[in-house]
Amino acid sequence: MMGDPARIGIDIRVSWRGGVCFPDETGEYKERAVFKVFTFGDNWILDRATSCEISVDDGRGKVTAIDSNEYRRLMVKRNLLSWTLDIPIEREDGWMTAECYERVKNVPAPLMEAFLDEFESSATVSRKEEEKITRQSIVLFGRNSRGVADACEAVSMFCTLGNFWEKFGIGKRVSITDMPFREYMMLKMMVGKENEAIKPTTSPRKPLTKIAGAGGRPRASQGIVMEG
Amino acid sequence: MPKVEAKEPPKTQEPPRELRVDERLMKAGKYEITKEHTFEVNLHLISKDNRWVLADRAGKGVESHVIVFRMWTYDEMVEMKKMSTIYDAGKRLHMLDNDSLNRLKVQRLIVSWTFDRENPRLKIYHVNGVLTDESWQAFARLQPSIISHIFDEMNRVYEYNG
Repeated sequence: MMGDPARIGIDIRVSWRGGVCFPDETGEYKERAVFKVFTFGDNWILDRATSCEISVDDGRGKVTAIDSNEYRRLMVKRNLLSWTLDIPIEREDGWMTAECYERVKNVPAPLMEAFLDEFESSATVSRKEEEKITRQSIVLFGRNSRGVADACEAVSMFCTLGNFWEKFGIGKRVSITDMPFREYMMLKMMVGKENEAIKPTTSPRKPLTKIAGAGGRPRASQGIVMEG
Repeated sequence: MPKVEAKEPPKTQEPPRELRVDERLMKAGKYEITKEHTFEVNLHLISKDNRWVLADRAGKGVESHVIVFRMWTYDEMVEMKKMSTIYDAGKRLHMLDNDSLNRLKVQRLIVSWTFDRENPRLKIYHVNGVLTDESWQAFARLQPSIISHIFDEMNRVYEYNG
C-alpha cells in the first residue's frame, strides 16, 4: 500500500532505563511518530515566528537571526500529528493545542530530540547529497553535456518538474507553500548551479571577430572581417 | 413608524475547555517525566597528597559519594539551551555555550548529594526549583577534576542517552 506523501513516519529504537524511555539503536522496543511533511510554507511561518533583531557593533547595527531552539520547538507544535506514546496529540488550526503541549513538553528530552533529528534530516539536504548535486550539475550544465547517468533526486526533479512548471506554472496548480521544503531546497540549489554555469558565457568576452588591416594589424578604419 | 432594531443573535462562542476533574487528577503518563525520574552519578575518591584522586570503583580507602540528578523534560532542555545559546554576529552562527549549559543543568536539575553527610554546611538548598547561590558556590568549590567527572557522567545521560 502506498504511504501518504504528506506525512512522514519516524521510527526510533528505544530502551527503558530508570523508568525513562531513551533512544537506543540496539533497543528492544520501537516508538513511532508521524509528522506532517515539512513544507516551504512551514519554514516561512517558523522563520517569521522565530526571527529577531540582534544589535551588533555596540548597537550601531542590527542583524536578523533565527532562534534555532524555538524553531525546533515550533516544529513539534506544527508538524507532529501522532505517535505511539501515551500522550494523545490534539491539534487545532494547524497547530498542536496549548493543553496538548502541556503534556508533550514533559516527554524525555533525548527521546523528543531523537524524533526531531530524524524529522529534520528528512526535511533537509545532507552534505553527501549536496556533494553529489554539485558533481552532477557540473556535468549537466557543462558546455557539451548529454545529460547525467544515474541522476540524483535533485537533478531528476530539476529536469522533470522544471519542464512541467515551465508549461503549467508553479503558482497555478502547485502552490509553493505546499511544496516539501527538501524539494524546494534541492530545486533552489539546482537553479543556483545553473546560474553559475551560465554566468561565464554572459560575462564580457573577447569578440569573436576583429577588424584587421593590411598586414594583419587591427585597425578601426578600412578593415577586413576575419574569423577570431 | 418606530424602528425595531433586530436583536443580536446570542453569542455561541464556547468557553475554553477546562480539564475535567478526572483528567486533572490523572497521573502522568508512562512517557512523562516527573520529579521521581532521577539518576545517580557515583564518585569514588581517594585522598592522596592532600588532594582527591578519582577511582573507578569503591574499595578500601575509597570514599564514595552519590549525586542525584533529575531527568530533564523536552521543554526544560529547550529553555536551558535558549539561555545558553549566543549569537556570533561575525560568523552569523548560533553558538551553544556548553559551560553555561552545564551550570544551568546543575543549578536546575541536581536533587541532592552525599557531600553533606559529614558536613551539614554542604547541604544543598533550592528556591523555586533552582539551586541557591550558596549551594552553587559549594558545588563550584569542588576540585576541577571532580566537577569535570560529574559533568561527563551527567551529560552521558542528558546528551548521550545514558
